[in-house]
Amino acid sequence: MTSRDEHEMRVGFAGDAKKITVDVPTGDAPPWDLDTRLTSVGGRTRRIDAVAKVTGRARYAYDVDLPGMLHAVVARSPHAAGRLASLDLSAVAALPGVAAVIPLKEPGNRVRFVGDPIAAIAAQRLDQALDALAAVRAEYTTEAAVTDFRDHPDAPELVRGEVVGPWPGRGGDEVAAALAAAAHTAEGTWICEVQTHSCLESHGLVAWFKDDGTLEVWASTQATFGVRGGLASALELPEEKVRVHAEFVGGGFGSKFGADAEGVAAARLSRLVKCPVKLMLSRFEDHTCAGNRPSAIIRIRAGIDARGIITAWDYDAWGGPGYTGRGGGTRHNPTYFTRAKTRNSHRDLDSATDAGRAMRAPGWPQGNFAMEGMVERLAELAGMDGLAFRLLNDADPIRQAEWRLGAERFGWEQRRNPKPGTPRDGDPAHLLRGAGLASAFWGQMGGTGNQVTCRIHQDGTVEARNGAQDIGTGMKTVMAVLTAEELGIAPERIRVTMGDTNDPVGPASGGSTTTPSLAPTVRHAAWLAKAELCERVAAALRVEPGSVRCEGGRVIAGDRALGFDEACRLIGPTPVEATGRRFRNYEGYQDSVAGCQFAAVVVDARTGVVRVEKMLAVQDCGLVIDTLLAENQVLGAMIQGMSYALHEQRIVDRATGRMLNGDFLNYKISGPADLPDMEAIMFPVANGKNNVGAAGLGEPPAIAAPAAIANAVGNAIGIPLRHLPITLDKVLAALAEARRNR
Amino acid sequence: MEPKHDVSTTNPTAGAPRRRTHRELLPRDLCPHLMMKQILVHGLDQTIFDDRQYPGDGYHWCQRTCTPVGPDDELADIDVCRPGRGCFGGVTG
Repeated sequence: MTSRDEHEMRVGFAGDAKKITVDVPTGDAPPWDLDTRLTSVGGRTRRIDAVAKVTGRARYAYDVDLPGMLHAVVARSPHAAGRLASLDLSAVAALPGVAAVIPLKEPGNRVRFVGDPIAAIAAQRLDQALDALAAVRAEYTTEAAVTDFRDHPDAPELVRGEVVGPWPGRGGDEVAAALAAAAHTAEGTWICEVQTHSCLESHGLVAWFKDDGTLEVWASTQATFGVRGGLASALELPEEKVRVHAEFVGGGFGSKFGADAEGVAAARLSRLVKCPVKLMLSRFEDHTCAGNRPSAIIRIRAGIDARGIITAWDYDAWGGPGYTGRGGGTRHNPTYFTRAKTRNSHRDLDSATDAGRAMRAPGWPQGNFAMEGMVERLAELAGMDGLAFRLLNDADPIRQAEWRLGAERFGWEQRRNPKPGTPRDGDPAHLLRGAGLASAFWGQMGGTGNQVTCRIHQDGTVEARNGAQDIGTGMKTVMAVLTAEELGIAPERIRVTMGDTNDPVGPASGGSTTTPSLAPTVRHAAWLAKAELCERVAAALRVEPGSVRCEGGRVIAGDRALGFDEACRLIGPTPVEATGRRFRNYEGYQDSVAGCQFAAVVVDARTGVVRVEKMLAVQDCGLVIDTLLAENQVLGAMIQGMSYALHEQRIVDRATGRMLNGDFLNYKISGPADLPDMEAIMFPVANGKNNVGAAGLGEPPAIAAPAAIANAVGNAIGIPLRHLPITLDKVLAALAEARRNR
Repeated sequence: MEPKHDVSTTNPTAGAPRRRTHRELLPRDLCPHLMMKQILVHGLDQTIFDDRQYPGDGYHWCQRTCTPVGPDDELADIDVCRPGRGCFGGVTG
């Protein structure tokens, strides 16, 4: 049981500041709050690895090239469902350059999707391995397969895009009564297609099983320690014999938590041939065999009272997570519904396609797209502007302030089309403009169990080390900024090492938890190291330890002020080294983060093309550790959200289950030419959850953009579009139907 | 696989009963080889947000295969990675 000390903090934000008393675990660094004056934190620090990245010096798993390294590929099932009847690999081994071939399935095993791995081949060159795939002799007994969740026997019936049929009976009495009593009610259906993760660096790793029985791995992963555990388990090795590196990672978005079948295959091949084996997925494999954001059908009925307050909310959803039949749940911001009777139901429908994986705010962009679309409809019924309606219903005090700030900076009044479906003054008749908005909600404040080493050397260099990975979010820079803040020196002076399981344990990067999990640990390590530095300086100068402090690049000891390097010379040959730990979260101000986004679009009614002209986000992430990094995270999420709203869609041949657009030519993602004027406004909140008070930014800003854009399109053309992605065919069809109905 | 249909009737925020954590909702006799995102991100003590959310988000895999399919060629999941399954790797009894 950890003992605790009471600590008074001023938390919240400028419009809602309050004093609270928190129990700080004994030994933790004193927590920062609204009254703390910080120097490096909150600035605009250039990423400490920026030069390495832009010059190509950064080495990703894909770049690893070891002496004697073999290249591996995977033979895969061409069938969506059935069993492997026979597998003959004898002809493969005889081919030029082939060093080893192993089965990944045995005859009788199921195949569950097109691309299910059945064998792996290692050869001296990649082209030799690829050629050898043709020599794999596999026979299957095939079965009829549902390759689209809409064809599942339990899928809802869709008529002209709307779910028809009864609502779930269980648990709906209160909601039904609230609907019956509502002043206005509405009902609708929203549909989302599958989005792939589309990481710039594909999945895979290099595995080197060495003569001493150890396994060294360079992986593209969001979980160095997770991959270590997985490979150790799969190969029946002690974990301490497995070392995983991931110094740089080219994106993961939730799809790179495990070693995967391919990682295990590379390690097994390496154990056979006793040399390094590289197995990185091709782009097609990455699209088809490495997870995705599941599809969804969401049906909502809702009611408001005469004032416009939401009083009834019935939300019925179906997810399409592929062959596992798990993980297709959708979610949405709950803060509009504190005065409503609500029911949420969900059913996953399996299909013979690749399994869904976590993807940047799993289930939230889908659910929020539907929820915010319905909220827009309810605002219409209430005779209210969408912003005013949300201000009336949103119970989150942070977002209340964000709505107002965002609306002013975005120019909500000016950009909103007062006559949806008609051109604005001065525009040609075929150009329709509109604006939309949507909320974001997230609730992860980080967890315990990680450690960070801070080391100060007599030459003045400072190290901060953790074995977790920086997946591109800038975590190394976050570690530098926090360490620098505590030591009173510039962030550029900190040497940060991440992505090596020989360093202290760190979390997987998922659920926006890396920063809130690690930041308090980083600070704790630096705080402890600073204390020891001050003690050693005090001893050398024969002053009281309590009279020494680090500030402004100097170490001040009583009436003497030494430069930081000068002070470090007093350390001696044994570096100062401290290990920080992550204490449990405090009660704090609020357990969730709030955000909102605004979008302005112009729709060409002749072509159906939607162009986003402006996007603006206001986002809380607790304490903003670095403004430049935080803005970068938000902007990236908005771009990915725009891409989901307008472009991205996995297209599967329903007859065979094969993906038809498994490349970057036919699977469109937003590119530079699509980008609008974008603005990210960080909304700092002292959340009082730990000694730093930072929240993550992977998920929160990824939730609102699709809904905001969809609502903007609806405002522009006067017809709500409820099926993502909003491609030009859907826009043209909606406009044509509107013309027919006039 | 029999699809589940989970229904919640409670409001997810203010005034609602205390939500349980992933750890509280997960079976205690789960196979230690069953892995999930929530375990890797130290998130088992996070509160389940609403009843549509499976413990661990629904993204499960077996550490012995590093895929969602166990060594016995059946799916890995919190409902089935329990004592009695042939490949169960936990402590029984």
